[in-house]
Amino acid sequence: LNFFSRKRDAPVGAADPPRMLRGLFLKYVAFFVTVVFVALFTNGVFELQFSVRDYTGFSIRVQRAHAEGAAAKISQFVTELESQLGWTTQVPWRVNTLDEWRYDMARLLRQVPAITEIARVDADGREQFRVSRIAPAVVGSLIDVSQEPKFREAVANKVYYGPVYFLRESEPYMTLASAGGGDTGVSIAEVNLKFIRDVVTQIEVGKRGYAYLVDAQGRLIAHPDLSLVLRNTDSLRLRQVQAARAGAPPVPPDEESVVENFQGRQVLAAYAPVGPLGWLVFVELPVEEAFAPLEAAIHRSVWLFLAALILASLAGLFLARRMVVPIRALRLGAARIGHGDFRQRISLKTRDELEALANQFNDMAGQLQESHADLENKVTVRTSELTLANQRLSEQWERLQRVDAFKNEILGKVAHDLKNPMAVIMGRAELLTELMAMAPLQRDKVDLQVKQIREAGQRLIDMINSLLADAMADALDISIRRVPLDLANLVEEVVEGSRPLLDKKEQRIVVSAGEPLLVTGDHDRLHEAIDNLLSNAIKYSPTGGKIEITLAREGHEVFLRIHDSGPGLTADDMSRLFGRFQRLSAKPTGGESSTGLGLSIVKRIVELHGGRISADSLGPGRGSVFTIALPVQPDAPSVA
Amino acid sequence: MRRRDIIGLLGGAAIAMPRIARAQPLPIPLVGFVAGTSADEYNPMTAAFQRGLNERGYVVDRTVRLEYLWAEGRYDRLPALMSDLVARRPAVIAAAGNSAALAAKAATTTIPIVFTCGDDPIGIGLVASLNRPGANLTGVSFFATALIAKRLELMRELLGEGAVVAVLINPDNPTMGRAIERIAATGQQLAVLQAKSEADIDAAFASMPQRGVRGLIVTADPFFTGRRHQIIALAAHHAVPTVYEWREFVAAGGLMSYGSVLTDGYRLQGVFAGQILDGAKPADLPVIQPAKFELVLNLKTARSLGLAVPRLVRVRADEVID
Repeated sequence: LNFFSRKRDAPVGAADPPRMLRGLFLKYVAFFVTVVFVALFTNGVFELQFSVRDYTGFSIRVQRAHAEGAAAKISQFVTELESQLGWTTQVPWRVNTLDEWRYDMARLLRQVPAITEIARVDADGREQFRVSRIAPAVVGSLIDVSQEPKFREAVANKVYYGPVYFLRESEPYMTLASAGGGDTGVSIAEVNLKFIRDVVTQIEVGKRGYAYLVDAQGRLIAHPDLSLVLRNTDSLRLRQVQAARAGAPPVPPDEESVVENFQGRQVLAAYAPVGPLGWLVFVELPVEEAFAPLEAAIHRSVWLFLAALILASLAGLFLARRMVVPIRALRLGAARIGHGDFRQRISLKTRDELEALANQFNDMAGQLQESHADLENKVTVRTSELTLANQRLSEQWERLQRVDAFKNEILGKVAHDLKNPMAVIMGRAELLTELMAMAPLQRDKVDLQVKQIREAGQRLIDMINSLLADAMADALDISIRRVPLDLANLVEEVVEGSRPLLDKKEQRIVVSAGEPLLVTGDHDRLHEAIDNLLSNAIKYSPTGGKIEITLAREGHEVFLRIHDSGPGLTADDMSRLFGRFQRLSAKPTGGESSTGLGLSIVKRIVELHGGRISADSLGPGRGSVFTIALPVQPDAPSVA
Repeated sequence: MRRRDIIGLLGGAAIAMPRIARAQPLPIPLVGFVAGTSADEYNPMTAAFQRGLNERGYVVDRTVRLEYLWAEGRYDRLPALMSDLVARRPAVIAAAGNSAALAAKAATTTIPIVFTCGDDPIGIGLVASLNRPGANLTGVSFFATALIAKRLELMRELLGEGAVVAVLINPDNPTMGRAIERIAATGQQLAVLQAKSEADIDAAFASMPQRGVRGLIVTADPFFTGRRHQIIALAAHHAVPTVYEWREFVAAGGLMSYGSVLTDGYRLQGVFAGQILDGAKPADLPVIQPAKFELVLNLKTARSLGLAVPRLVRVRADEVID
């Protein structure tokens, strides 16, 4: 009996718990992955943002450095031109012969391919001599150029840079004039600016970067794409050129660093001014190339990010598993304990709080097991006590039932049986009253009546006594003591006790008992039973009659037979013999009284001893035989 | 770089990753190279043309088919060659020389044409404007004719003022008229010799002693370039100091050349062809003029001619072959 088991149909740890655990598992993993994702993503985005900014700034500074380098080279180119030209003005026109001049000029043209034509003008501004790569030399044209800016400005400033112009629509040219001191005159050169292209194209900016040159008016002078120059492309449509001409800082702010180039592609642009010419050199790098390392870094970051995320997921899975598996074990263990299996112990070797928790569970289960066992014991004891009490109660109840039935029976019988003697008493008393009233008093008749009354009274008393004894025996169920006793001895005692009656009726008694016959029983009760039977035998045997008592053991039973020499029993007698208050057809031979209760008590006593009683008759007038069979004492030696 | 660019890059990086380039098997474009001369002596020029294509990333027989059509000196064959070529729908026509260029222009108004031109391409009616050609043609102009006076100057410096100098001209070359105009403009006496065949060349040289010619100027013409060995041999044979347009003549034994660099021009023609294959419109590509002029002098030839090269000429020589 288990008062603590909760009757539930659901089996322990079956269908629904894994779902719950998977939820916890997923929650763990999701949480872990989310945390790692957010951390990595935030870090990645911030890092990228900073590296983008840094890298953009860095790239622009590099561009700017390229532009300055390009500006320096172009400056150098122009300065060299200027110095080559200046060399021709070191001596006055008159000092050299024409041949010497032609030689010098020819050498200059050979050394400086950018100069297409050079003219020597004397101090008065008259052209003395002109050589060209294309046209034949012209000597002594004396064309007056003294009023032209190229002469005046050269004289005033030693050097003159003319505006860029386009020869035959497409060739960019510039007039460069150089004046010597005093009367040395002026050398005026027409410079083909296509040669600057060589300088510009030599400027290396990354793989696909390039430089180009714009003059003070915003005209394109040199560009790796010659077509743009030859077509006299207007560079002012470019935002970076506009900004530079408007005086923007050479390193533009980040958001202005990416602009469109002539082809409309996105480039990273920077510029630098070229010396005194007012030209601007621009350096541009396609954004794809400029930010290629950045893009590579972003790719790397993305891959790293993905790898880290996968690792985090795996770690999350692993950790969640490490958490959930012990929790599942705990849960199942706790569920078993909850369902009453107090011997259940949870075995966890995680060396952490979970193991501690499992140990606490185990302690708790141990305590539960102890207190449960205690309770079980108490319950067992109380239950057996209750059973006993129940048994006693039901026995008592049965007895009360019997008493009650007996009471009813007795009341009925008493009303009927006690009426007879009372009727005798009442009749005799009336008769006696009449006799007393008669005169003379007839003494003998009165005495007879009184005697009759007394006898009837005596019978009443006997009946009541017998009734009471029987009732006592029956209702109170007098307990039978069970002790081993010798039935032969007992019979002898009974016979000795009845000796006066036998002698009174001069009856003979023959007791045949060969050996001690041991039975288990109550000495007094058996004595009473045998005495009762013997009394009956004496009562119904005629004076001088013979009574035989035989004791014999047959199998496991001891038989006691009392054979009287009375009138015997009728068939009607046999059926009623052992009932209460039954009268037999025969009358006691010595006028003895009988309550009719005797045999029923005998039967009861015998039955209480586990025996049986029977009566037999050899026929009317040939006496009757009462037989008691009692079980032999179990350990008595068997005769048979 | 702004923030959304970064995000864009991030996104782009993620999306771009699995992209697989799938090259469509396009037919290899055809470039037809048409010249009035013969193949064998034009090797340096065709090689330069291929270099120009290579500069634009084109490799012959792998990314471009290059087919040569030679008129073998017979300029009258050029229109037929050109119409054959046009019928095959080339991606670009490369025309070498004025005659081929004009034949190409006559043959198609749609197929892009890249020419090399000895003279002013406006003057001979190839293009309307140098920096905005406008139609389906663009190319390289050598402005060779303009240099006749300059070469005459050289000849005078070499031979002295009074010497009779002749000019060899191909009458089939459309620039001939302008060349004669130019010569007239110099105001100097010049004998004009015409040749459009090898026999003509022989005849021209043969006629020189008779006309008292002491020096010769060979004008720029693909036919002459293709027959340079014949011309040089004749010049040596007749001991005529000759000044040429191109250094190739001098390298082969000619006395002297003054002009732009022929192979540079053909290389640029190849670059133009490549640009057009890339999708550029000829109308947007300005005609390129030479900026570099070189004087190449063969002193060995000068010695064999018994010529003393003056200091003034020698100092101007960009290259001296000795």
